[in-house]
Amino acid sequence: MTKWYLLFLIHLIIPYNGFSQTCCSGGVPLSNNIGGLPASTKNTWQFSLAGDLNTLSTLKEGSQELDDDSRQRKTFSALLKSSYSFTDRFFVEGLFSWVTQERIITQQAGFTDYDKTQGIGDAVLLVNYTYLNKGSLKLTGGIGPKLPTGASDLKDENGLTLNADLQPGSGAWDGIFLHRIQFTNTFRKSQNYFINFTYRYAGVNNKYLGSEQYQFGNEVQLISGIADQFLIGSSLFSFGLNARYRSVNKDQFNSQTLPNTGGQWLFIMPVAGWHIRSNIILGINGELPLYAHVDGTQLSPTYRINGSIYYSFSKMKNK
Amino acid sequence: MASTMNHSVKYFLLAVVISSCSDPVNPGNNGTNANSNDLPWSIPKNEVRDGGPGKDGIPSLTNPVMISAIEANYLSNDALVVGFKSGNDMRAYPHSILDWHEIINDKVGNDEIAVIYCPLTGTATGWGRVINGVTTTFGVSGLLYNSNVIPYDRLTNSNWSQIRLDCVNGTLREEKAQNFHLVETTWKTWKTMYPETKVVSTLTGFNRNYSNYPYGDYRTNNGSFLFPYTPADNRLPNKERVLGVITPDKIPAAKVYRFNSFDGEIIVKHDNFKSIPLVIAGSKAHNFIVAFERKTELSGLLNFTPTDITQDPLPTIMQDNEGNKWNIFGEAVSGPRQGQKLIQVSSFIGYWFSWGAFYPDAEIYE
Repeated sequence: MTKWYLLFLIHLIIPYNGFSQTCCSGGVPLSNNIGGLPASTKNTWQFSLAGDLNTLSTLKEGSQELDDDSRQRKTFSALLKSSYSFTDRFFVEGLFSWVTQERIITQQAGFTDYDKTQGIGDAVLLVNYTYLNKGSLKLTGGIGPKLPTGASDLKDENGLTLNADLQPGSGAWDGIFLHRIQFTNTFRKSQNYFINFTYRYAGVNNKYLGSEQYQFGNEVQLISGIADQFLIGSSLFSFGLNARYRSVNKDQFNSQTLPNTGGQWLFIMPVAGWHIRSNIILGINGELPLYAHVDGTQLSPTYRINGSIYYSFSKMKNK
Repeated sequence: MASTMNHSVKYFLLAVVISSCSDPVNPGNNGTNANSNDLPWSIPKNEVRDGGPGKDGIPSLTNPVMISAIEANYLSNDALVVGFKSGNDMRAYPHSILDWHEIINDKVGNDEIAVIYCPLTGTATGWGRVINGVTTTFGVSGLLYNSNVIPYDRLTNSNWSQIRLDCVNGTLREEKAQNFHLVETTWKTWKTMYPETKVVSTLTGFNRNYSNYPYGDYRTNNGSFLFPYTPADNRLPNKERVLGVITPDKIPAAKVYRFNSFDGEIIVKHDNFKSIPLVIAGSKAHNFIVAFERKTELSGLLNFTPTDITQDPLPTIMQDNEGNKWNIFGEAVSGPRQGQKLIQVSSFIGYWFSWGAFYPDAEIYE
């Protein structure tokens, strides 16, 4: 059971910049949260509710940081994750989001321009299967769609349609492939390692700005981490450290690549969890960029924080 | 820092509040930089686009640091610049600076001017910035119409259309912009014509890499667009640079002139567009085209021929049947009309697609 929680923590608190939008995307944190719920035993329900704040105020050209703090993007997301295990190897999970995006410009004698959108974001359904569970090694593959449940045509208060990167949804069906490698019971019984690989093939929004085509860049993520648990007083805590590499292709508008989109990032992310009860965990994590190379000039992530609460129950157990 | 923390706390509290329905939240602006976007538009509002960076997200410049031509070693000879002349004060505004700032508010001689450049349509215009007797500045609204910049004036926050040359939203709606004559050419041509010119320094107060063009292959890729425009007109390659002349009618019309028509040192052509007698002078070799009416306020119709560049170097470009010689700004530099100016017409260079979009069925000079 302890391993089970550790695995949960490792995956729950995986980074999140999410679907790359355009040049200064706040990013809707879906793809990074997929795979956050671990494989479980048969007939187990898992739920997680998380709040995620992603702040972008670092202006970069390539890998060089520019001395300019006039622009800021903030994306706050409420993320509801749920999974159900039909067998010990086969489980499905869903991720549903509520997204608030802000664009803040401070320029010209301190004037501030502020835009904000909010709404239901896109959703992800993923079918997972653990095809190897031998000794300390577990290999799980997952595949599924990202559904365009979020609006991609929101207008500002004056009726002007906002840019793609301020929309809560992408307006496109994406395909997501996930593979997880988990090592447990290695150097310490409570210690765990993992490597997650995620690939997102971005679909095309054929109704962008009416009848135009917009396609966010395809995305690859590699996340690796280590976690362990410790008893502090009478409470059980988990701590971990993750690294995330993310590479995103350029977006396309009407099949032509858009400048100032796409790039590569490397993040470091400390994670912590408090096991309130055997099936309830409070988690928190932060994320800081170690390296970024953007195409052209873009706002790049500055920091991200995420807090969550997790709950699970087993139908078998209840019976 | 305290403010950031407060925001963070607020967001986490919001984390557990999941509402329904998508909703653009009424944001408005802080400070005095309020939008006027809720007032009527004289262009289709549903075709006004949010460009992404937001209002002033692309920072305009005001009274930038100027340097001499000799000091401007960041410019290559073939770099495009926008030139303006007021009396004996000549200034060059390089595309490489304008690509990042789009608007430069400046005072040249006695002229308060805003040089407005849209990298997406390749159009440069010079507008007066005295409005209702008050000197103001223009900024980048972050909005686009037909992929063209919508500047706003900081006096009234009204939004203007660059290529239409008028105010399209706000209290000044339907006001015409005061249009100055600019010359777009290469740095080599400009500094040859005006070696005493001043040019914008890269010390703009903003940390940008001015040696990098920020839009990839946009300038040369005829299929590359960042925003939609309509209608599309395929008679010419989308990104071909052409000079457009706009009539002052209530419903303006435009006619464009291609560099291919000026393949030589200096070529001068007479044309008649919507009953306006025009003289168009251009040089593919020296990368400029300019247009004027064929008369001054004091003259009758003049007949022009090109000057011999070996005898009358640039900026002198043409002579007339009265023995006057004229420079690239339409000023008589010698002859009986010395000191007079040819009547200016609204004209500027831009990518062909933008002329086709803003002035459907624009004529093409053949």
